Amino acid sequence: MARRERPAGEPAGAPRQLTRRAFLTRALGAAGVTSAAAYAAYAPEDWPGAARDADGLRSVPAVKPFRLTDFRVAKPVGAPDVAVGHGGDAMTRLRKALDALGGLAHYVSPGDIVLLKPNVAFDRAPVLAATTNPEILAALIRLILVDCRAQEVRVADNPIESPADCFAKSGIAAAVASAGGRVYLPDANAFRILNTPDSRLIENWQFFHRPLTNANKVIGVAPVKDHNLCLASMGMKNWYGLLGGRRNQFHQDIHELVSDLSLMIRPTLTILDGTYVLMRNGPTGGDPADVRPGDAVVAAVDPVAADAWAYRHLLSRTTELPRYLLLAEEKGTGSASTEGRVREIA
Amino acid sequence: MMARARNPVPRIRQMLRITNARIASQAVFFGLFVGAAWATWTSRLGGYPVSRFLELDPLVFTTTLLSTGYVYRFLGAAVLIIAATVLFGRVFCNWICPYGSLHQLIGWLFNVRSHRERWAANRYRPIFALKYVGLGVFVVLAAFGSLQVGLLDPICLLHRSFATAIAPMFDGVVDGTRSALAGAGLDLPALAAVKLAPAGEPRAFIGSFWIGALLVTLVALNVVVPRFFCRTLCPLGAFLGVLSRLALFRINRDASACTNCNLCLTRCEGAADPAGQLRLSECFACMSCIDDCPEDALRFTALRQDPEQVVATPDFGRRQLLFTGALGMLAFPLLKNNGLNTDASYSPGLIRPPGSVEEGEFLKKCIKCEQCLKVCPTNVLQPAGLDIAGPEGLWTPVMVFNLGHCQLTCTLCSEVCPTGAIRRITVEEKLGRGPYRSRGPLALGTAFFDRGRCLPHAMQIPCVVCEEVCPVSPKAIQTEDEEVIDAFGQRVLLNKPFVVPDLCIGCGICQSECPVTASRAVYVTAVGETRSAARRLLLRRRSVLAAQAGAGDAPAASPGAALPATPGQ
Amino acid sequence: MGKRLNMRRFDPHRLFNPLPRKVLRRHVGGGEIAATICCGLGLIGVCLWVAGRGADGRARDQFLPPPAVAESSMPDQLYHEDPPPNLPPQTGGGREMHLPAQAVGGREMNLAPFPPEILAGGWRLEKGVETYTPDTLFEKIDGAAEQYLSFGCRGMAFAALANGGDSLTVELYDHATFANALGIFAAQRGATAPVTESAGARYYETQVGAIGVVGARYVKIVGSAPGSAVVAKARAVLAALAALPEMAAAVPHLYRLLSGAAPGVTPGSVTYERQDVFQLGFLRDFWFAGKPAAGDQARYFLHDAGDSAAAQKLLERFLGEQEYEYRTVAPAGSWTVMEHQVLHTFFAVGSAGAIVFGIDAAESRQRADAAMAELREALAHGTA
Repeated sequence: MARRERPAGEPAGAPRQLTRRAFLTRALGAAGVTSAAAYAAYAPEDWPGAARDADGLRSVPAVKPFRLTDFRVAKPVGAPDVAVGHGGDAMTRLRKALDALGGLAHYVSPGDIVLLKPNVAFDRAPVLAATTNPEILAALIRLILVDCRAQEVRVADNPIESPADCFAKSGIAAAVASAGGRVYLPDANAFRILNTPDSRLIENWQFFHRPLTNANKVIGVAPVKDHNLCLASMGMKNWYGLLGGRRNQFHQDIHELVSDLSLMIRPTLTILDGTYVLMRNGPTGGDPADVRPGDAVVAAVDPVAADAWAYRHLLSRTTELPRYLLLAEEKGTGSASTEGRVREIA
Repeated sequence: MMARARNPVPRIRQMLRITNARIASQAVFFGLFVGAAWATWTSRLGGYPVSRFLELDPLVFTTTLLSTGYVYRFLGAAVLIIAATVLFGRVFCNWICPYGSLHQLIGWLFNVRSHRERWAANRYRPIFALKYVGLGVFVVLAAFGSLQVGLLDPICLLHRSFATAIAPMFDGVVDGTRSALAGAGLDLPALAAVKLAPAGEPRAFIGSFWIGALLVTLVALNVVVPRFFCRTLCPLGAFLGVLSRLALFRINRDASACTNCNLCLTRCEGAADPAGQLRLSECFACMSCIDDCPEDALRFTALRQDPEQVVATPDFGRRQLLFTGALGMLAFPLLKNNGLNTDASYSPGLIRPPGSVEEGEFLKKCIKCEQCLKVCPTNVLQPAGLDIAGPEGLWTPVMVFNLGHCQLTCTLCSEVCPTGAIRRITVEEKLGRGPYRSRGPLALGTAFFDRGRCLPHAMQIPCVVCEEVCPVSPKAIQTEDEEVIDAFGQRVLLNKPFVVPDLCIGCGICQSECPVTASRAVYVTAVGETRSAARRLLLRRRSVLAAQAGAGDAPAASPGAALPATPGQ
Repeated sequence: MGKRLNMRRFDPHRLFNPLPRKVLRRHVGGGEIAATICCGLGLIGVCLWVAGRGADGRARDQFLPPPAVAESSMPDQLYHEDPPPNLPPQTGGGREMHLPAQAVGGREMNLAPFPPEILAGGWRLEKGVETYTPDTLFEKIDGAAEQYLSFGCRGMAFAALANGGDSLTVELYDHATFANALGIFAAQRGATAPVTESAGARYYETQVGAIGVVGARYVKIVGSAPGSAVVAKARAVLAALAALPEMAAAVPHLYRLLSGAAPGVTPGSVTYERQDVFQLGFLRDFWFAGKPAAGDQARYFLHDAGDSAAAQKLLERFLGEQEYEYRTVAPAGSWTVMEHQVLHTFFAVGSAGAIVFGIDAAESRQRADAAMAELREALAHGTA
């Protein structure tokens, strides 16, 4: 309170007295502070502005999950579910596969914002096949931007190791920059809770949300890798890279989780990069002896069939399919049977 | 007010006076320091000389030369500062030192004293000689082989504070701003470029509170005593003060022109008594006294110096010198002989970054500047507390794998280390490839399993995240597979992990990814590190032998044999 | 002075420095100005130098050069298995294990490696097909696994079929080569059991099933109870397996020589021993055939040593070992005949090119000589 001057005319030395006006002001102030505190403390919870929290549950932060739209596009009549391109360079193989599927322009429209999800989980050189090959990614970005006249291509992943290093050392950052795409690196603010109805493990889970803001097409671009626990890491397992939170718990039931991922996101296309195939020691690799050149690019509208084909033909596994493919089949994502659904273009 | 209108010096000449050059210099060097802190990051480093302030530090140069007998990599750059000091005195303190500039800035900003109070505050006090005691103790310790100068050296201290306290705080503010703006519908990805360490997760440093508190305390003391740290504690200032007796140039007072008005004390940074006999060892050559002398009696000159107007040596007699020497010799065994960091008894968490030299050598070289912590992309490097490294190793870098892991193809810490405590290595050397095959990879430690906590081992729950992320090939974590009926009658396939110690490089990614947080089911301890013969675990690495057999290499060099020359820059 | 300078007292309510920066001096010399300009230029120089250092001089150190990666790829076999080869289903020794309870779930596609025909005639799978690797084989056939492994077993698939009250189990062992499969077949077969050969399968029937060789596979089909239905089903399963294209395996020429060219030898009597032939560690890969004539214990044998020098060397070593039990009757010539010092049976061995041939346990020297002549004739004929 400001210094109060002695009113003029009051005799010096006389005992100071409160004026009536000052007294009323003070009393009003005291009453205001007290009643405000009392309102905050005791007003019932449904009163406007009430702060009372009798059982401690009101103060629990409300989770406001978001949902993803379905990014799928119906394939043209007569197109196969899975197309494989062999021979030539990355662009040639990719074009062969996409053309057999009806052409990329059928799936990506002018003005679209397209999210590409490569697998950049580790800071490995491209030849070690632990990450998506940058050439195929660059080729795909060019096709999307030039042929399909998309508005923007985003590339995002939430790697296990340092994101900046993983993107740099896998060659993906440079490839994306040269092709005209934009890399989204995860940070603490980039995640939101995603609601996936019908999934068993990730009904509400932290999800790398930022690159998906306003995106209307999503394409997974995954390498084909060996994986000790779930046998193979291919197109469906790739979506693991958009999860946040304590995702290392999922190894306790990895097959259920991977099949849940196929419910979580319904990509426009799944592209499997068979430039190099990591045959063993996956998913990290690290030794060129683990890698086999695959000379194939798989493009598919059915992620389950694509994985099943790649498991048999790129990883050359004759053992039964990974269980997650069968679970995904049960959950209605697609069909693991590749009979008559695959077209290979040499 | 009225005073300036009367100054006869033309405005352009006023602008070009030397104190403005000093302020520009301080601004530029402080900017370079912050820029270096910004560039000390994996995606920005390029070829920037981000550790050059440390490498220019003559005290680091001298003490590492004393402790090791050698001058590492760029440390010779300190000759520039030594030369500048013997020419111009302690110009480093008020023209270059970013920590000095920070003190001066804060002191100036919060200085609300009257002129008379300023004169009193800027007079020399005997306590200012304390810094020479500190310097003496540090030098004696270094000569005995324990480098402690980094605790108080201003460049080390500021780097350390920036890396562990200021950068996380600043980045937190930037992140908060960004998310607030995003909440308002405005996403500014460009803000990530402003962050000093733009990692995905907010960075955390164990014990950064104490480092930050020390910085804040020292800076806040400027309000009580101007330039308190620089005048009283700074060992680098003391070192330069000793050197500055050789200086050619100094402030010289023309006693005949002086009216003893004391105005020269108003802004004297070093408390060097320009009004009387100049204490040369305390003068920062800030040149403010020249500006403040209405009689033009003060000049910074090499010629026409009045020998009566100077005290060239520090206020530090032989008695104090003897006392200081004794203190240093007493401090050395106190630091060393506490049984916390010997080859028989050392903390399991004393895991040094890749390229680190053997522990005894490491403590002779590490100046605790935390440049390695700043550049580490995964946040695994942490300042060691007393519990891990003892008082001698306080704030030296150790790896805490609960917070991160050592990324396989990354050697950035060895790139920025100014003193070679972390020797500069290439990825090839780190992984034991190419010319380093016969020696194998640099292991930081060895992973162990706590089978009582491991999910497949103890609880019949599938997991093996550790095996998945193990980055070496073949994997150092292998599994024994077993099918069991669990408590709920389900058949489950358990991949029970175990460690192949020959292949383990101690990178700690298994520990950092282990879902059994709180206390991890797989953890890395320091035993088995390749840098130390005495802390080794295996008689030999079978994997290296196998690699040699496959390649037909010459037999492995015996442990401790000369390493291939590191390519210089 | 108090007027010229602001001598304001310390004011605790003031936050920041109240004094403007003032210059009291009256002279700024030319040298000082020159020094200031030099300082400014120096600072600009420092900034330019630092900016120039930004070009990426470090990045190359942070990548492992691909040649270094490739060159130092570890050839060690300590912990590495080879990448899974392209094997017929369920026979590879990969680490994939089976999760019957959840993985199969009654899905018909998991019949592999068996063809769907094994379910013909109303048979159904009792539970999922189980597969075993060399490491886990003992879990199924504890104790007997060693014998299979000694013949190079790479894996086993097991199916249990049922049809009404009948049930039978099919064990399909993958031995990688026809010779190995024949070897284990011969080792487990009673000497007198008649071998039937039909459509790529060699087998003999038991009361409760059939045991045989299909290509490189050894198949054991065992029913729960004797009965013609079970045996017929076993035959049908063998036929179905033999019809699979991936079951085709090359038949070695020594087998063909012994079974076709050598006189009087029936295909059923041809056997194969993989290791420790004649209890000698250095003898491996021998083919044997005996005439089924009653009382005749004699066995022909053939071995392909690779080239004639190796054959010669093997022969010398073999003869050296035999001298402990035999005495030499006819030392030289095209072959060597020896007589057992106790049993007085005759043993003869010789070589023709890379092939080592001989007869064991002949009752007379004439019989041995005749057999050797026959064999050499057959070899000359067969190899011509």
